[in-house]
Amino acid sequence: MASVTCACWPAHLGPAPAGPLSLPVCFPWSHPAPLLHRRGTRSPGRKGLALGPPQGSAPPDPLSQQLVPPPLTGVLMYRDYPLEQFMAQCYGNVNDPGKGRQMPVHYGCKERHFVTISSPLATQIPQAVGAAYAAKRANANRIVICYFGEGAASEGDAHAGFNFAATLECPIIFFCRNNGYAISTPTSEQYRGDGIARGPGYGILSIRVDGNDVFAVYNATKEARRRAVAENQPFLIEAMTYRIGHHSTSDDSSAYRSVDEVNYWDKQDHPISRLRHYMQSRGWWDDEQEKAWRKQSRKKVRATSCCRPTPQGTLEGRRLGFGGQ
Amino acid sequence: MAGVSGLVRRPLQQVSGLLRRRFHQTAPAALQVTVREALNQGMDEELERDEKVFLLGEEVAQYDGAYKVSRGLWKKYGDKRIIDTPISEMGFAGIAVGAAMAGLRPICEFMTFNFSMQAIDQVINSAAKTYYMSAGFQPVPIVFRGPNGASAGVAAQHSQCFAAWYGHCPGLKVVSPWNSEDAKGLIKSAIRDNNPVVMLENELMYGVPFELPPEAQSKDFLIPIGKAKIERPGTHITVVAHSRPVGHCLEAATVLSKEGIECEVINMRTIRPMDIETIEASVMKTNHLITVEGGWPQFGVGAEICARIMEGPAFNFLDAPAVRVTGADVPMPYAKILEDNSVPQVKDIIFAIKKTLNV
Repeated sequence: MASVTCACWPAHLGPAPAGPLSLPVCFPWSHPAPLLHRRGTRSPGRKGLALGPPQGSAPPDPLSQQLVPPPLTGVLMYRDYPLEQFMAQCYGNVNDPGKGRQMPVHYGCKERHFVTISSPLATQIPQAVGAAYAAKRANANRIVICYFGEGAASEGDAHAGFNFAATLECPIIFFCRNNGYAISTPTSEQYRGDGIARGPGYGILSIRVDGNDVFAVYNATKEARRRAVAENQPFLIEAMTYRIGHHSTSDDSSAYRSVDEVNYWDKQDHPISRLRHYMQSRGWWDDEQEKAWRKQSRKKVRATSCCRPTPQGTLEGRRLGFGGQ
Repeated sequence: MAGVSGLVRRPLQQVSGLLRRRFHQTAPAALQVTVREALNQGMDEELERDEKVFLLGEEVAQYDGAYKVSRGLWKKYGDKRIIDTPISEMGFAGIAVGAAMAGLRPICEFMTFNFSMQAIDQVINSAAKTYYMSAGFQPVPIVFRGPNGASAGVAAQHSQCFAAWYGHCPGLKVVSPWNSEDAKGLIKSAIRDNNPVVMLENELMYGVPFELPPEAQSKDFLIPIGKAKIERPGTHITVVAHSRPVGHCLEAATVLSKEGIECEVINMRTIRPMDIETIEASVMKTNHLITVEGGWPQFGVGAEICARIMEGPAFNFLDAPAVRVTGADVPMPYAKILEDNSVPQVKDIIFAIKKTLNV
């Protein structure tokens, strides 16, 4: 099988690793995709990013997330977090392990090493570095992967996190999803440097990948993980993608970008479509199966979301918040 | 022919009109204006009046503001006066402080005051303390504004009230508007003030319309910082609040009025410098006091009011201990039933009033 090369793999990092092209690998990637789509997440670019990394990082690695995680929902989904639990968290009902404390999509799962989403931007970056430092001290052969958007990288915490990761030599992957917009702020107003692949300024090896290419993301992450553990140093991956959907339900992005621009990415450069076409060209998937799987996904999502939310957290539960008083 | 006769007739009519005429001035009708519109008007008027004034923050320009408070301002004033910043509160607060020190008059918007914690060193150590530290040489005429306190369904990291935090610091002025008149008058005063002013707005109030009285429609309408307002005079108990809870207190007062209890509701308007004199005068009249706030109880606004009442002349007029009605001492939960029970409701205010009055 021909090896997959990453377009911008820097030569000094050695030969680009071959991507796994077999069906058993691609299948688990393709399956969460319709589930994500049916849940109304509208940023396929970010979905590509979600599905790529997890296989690159072995299951026990902790994931430190930023808010706005619909794409990272894929990461958690890949780690077999049940659909019912996603829904329970969003509803804040009695089945929610968070007991209705957190806003929707603020998932967290200790067993799956998925650090709970926190709202303030970029605060997870230095925290992730601290966790990686702890992993290094414990000789755990584990890394931390920390996700954030290109907007959050403007925060002071990002600078501090990068600098500490380098000076403390921590096994961490900084994974930046650069999707072109932070609410309405385009990248041209967010930064003037060459994207977020600004790691070299900190002494961090960095790579920019096509975020809508699952294989590229996978390869980059896998290699970064291998080296982070072996060499105790941080890596920065900037995945270029595009936010097709609005920022949130209260946003209308046609106010600040053209519909043509959105359509281009939706039609021409959609990570799920690209993976599907690849699988179809290999004869591993076809339109029939696509249709059937979409139907099945829809049913699955409806089954979890249509049941009336069970009574929400009780006041008894609320008093637990008094910290043991 | 008709024209000439008109000319002849008109002067006669005019003369008789003059004899009959009195000066007549139509009073401007009281307008319905939302708090958002009032803030927008206030900023617009000050931007027009003084070109040193400018607004910066996330999404304030082309997006019209995260909560649309700066709607239309970028279109009117352009890039030089309405500036979108990258996502770095510490960064743009610092830039604003520097600009103020250099002679401009920035309005620094935090998307919510929760995010001001990422910039709090700039607000306190730089903006608040510099005038004192420089022995009066270096003023910092800056306004920090944004929504404060609980919204709806935004949970712990988006719902904290910062009135007590900022009210604690000498060097800062802190204001907390309730209605449209408050919002307009206070933002204008804040912008014209040469001190750093923290303006704590409320997201749930942005869309609420109020009647804006005629005097508040003037471009020079200012509300003095440091002066409270008695929204509803009463005789049985003094009820002191700031921001959204003022509305809840007025609701409670209406309910209790039917039972013969007349509450005097005071809208603080300013947290720092606190208008304790108005509260004292009221307590000396009613002999009973409760305070109402959305923030947490410990070291809160109510705690400060109670302490000052004890230290002043009004203490001897109290017939019962003062009671604080506050938000629950927990990080704000998300689920609706939990959230509803974590903020003071009208029934909580009524309960506290009756308990204080022993009825």
